[in-house]
Amino acid sequence: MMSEHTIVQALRIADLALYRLDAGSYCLATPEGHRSTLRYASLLLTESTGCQLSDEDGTVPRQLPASTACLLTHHVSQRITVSEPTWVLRLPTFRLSGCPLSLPMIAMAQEMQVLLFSIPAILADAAHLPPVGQRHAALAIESLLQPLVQGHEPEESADITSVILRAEGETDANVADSAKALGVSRSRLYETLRPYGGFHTLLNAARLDRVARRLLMPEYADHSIKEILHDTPFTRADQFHRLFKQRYAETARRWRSAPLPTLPATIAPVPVHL
Amino acid sequence: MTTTQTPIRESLYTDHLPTCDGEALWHELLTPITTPQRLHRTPTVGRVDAWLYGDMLISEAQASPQRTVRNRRQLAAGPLPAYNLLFVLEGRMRYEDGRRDRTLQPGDLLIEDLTEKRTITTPTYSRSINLMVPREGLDEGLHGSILERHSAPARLLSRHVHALLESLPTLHARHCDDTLKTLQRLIAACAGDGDVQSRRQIRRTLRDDIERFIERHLFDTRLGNASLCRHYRLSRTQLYRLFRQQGGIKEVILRKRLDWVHDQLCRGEGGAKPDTETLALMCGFASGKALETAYRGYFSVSMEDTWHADTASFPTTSRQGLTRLFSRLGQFPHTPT
Repeated sequence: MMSEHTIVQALRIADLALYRLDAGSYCLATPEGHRSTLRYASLLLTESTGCQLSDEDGTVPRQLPASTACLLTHHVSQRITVSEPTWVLRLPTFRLSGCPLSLPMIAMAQEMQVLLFSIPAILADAAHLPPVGQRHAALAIESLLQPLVQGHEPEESADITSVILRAEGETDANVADSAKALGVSRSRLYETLRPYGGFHTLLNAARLDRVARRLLMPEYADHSIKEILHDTPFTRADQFHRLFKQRYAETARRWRSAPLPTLPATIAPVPVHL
Repeated sequence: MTTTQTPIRESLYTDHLPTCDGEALWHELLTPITTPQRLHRTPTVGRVDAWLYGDMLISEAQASPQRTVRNRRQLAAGPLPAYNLLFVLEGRMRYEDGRRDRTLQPGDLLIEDLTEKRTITTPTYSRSINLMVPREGLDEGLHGSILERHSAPARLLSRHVHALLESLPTLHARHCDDTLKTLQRLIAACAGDGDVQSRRQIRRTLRDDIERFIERHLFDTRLGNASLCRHYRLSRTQLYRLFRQQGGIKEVILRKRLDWVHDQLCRGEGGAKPDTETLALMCGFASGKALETAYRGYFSVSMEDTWHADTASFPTTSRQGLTRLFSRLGQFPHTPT
């Protein structure tokens, strides 16, 4: 039986999408059937009753507290059950961290509740602003979410994250140097990073995220893609464009004008069969 | 990067004091940013509840009918390099700055540059929220921007500031940098001017970036057109065009070096005057005499005179200014609750 609930895509500002979910169960899906490594985070704004979070198969349920803003980032599909209409803000994880490895996590900051619960209203007003204003507003939301991310990084990945971030800006970064910096063997580093696609996938993802972020920043609106690539380690434009399309399922030019990929599974929480 | 600190609160009410005392206190409090003047016979008094959070000063103010003026004489004493976002909650205000003459009503939002002249007349009792933020990181031409009530930008900023005010008692020190960034981005979103704004901003961002680079490499003798062109991958023409209004890149470097020298003279530690020859060598001048000449040409005073001058009268940074303004609240007699 299909549940009766609906998803309303209320607003879309730059690469942020705000949904209103009716009571019911939803699957926050990872993209299927394509090679994109881009992942999304969800900010759940449940007002009075909280919501239940579980894996795709329904196991490991976790109750998220009521009247709390929860930032949820995931590498695998997850199911949420809400008993009242709930706002969900979906955003690419690169808005939260320079390194794709720093995820997954569930983060809450009780002292920020009022500010975080004002996000739907901010986005509603920002939708009336010109595109440049909307991009500034998206960056404002990004800054607002930073306190949620800081300090919630899983300890075991913190060292690797810093090494990846350091290597990200270097043209000649290699696994041997990174392993040496971490004090582990190459094979151990390969093994650790395998679930995330490997060392080079992570490194390229971090580099691409930096470019993707710049493509959305009003400060770089007058720069051509070639100019933006100047101080990145991508030495060949064709290599960059190929990798960019793999990760974002869009060309860099199209991402700049309409940043959300068109693949519905990556954007929309999908109602599940009960 | 700001120095993080938890929000601190101070209040000052002058309306319960005898007229003369209350008025004097109110004038003294507002002196760094504006001069209150009486309208008719009503004494100029008011109430201020203020929060200092990182580089932001947020206050809710209530004031009797009065005119507040910021003129050339006041600015000469040392302007505060900050923007003030004024949200009108009650009462009407007339805003004049020589170019604009507008009436503000409840719900309107005014952005004023505290280094610019203006007059605000409030013929009735008024209540407002004032949010002061450093000018760094924001566009230069925002002075006198008015966001009209019910418009999306005014609603957006007003909602955010109200949410911020509500959250202040619980916010942590570590959040203040992100909170300031959020606010700056929202101001840019709401007070911006579309594509023109975007182009201006790109140039300003690049200019700011180059200026920061200059500040970091102030003592590098190789600092000049060539090194900047190489580092920023700009042609000489592009670089000159960026700094044309400031008199050229060479002039900017010279000024920054002289500003640093000025700073050393104003804040000389240990009581001994810094050695002119040493300062000259550090800043790339051929000799102490060359530095003296350039200094006098730029500041119209000699280094010796600067050393003996009253340092308190020199303009402060926005952070020092806002902190000093806030600490004034604590220096006055305590407000009965």
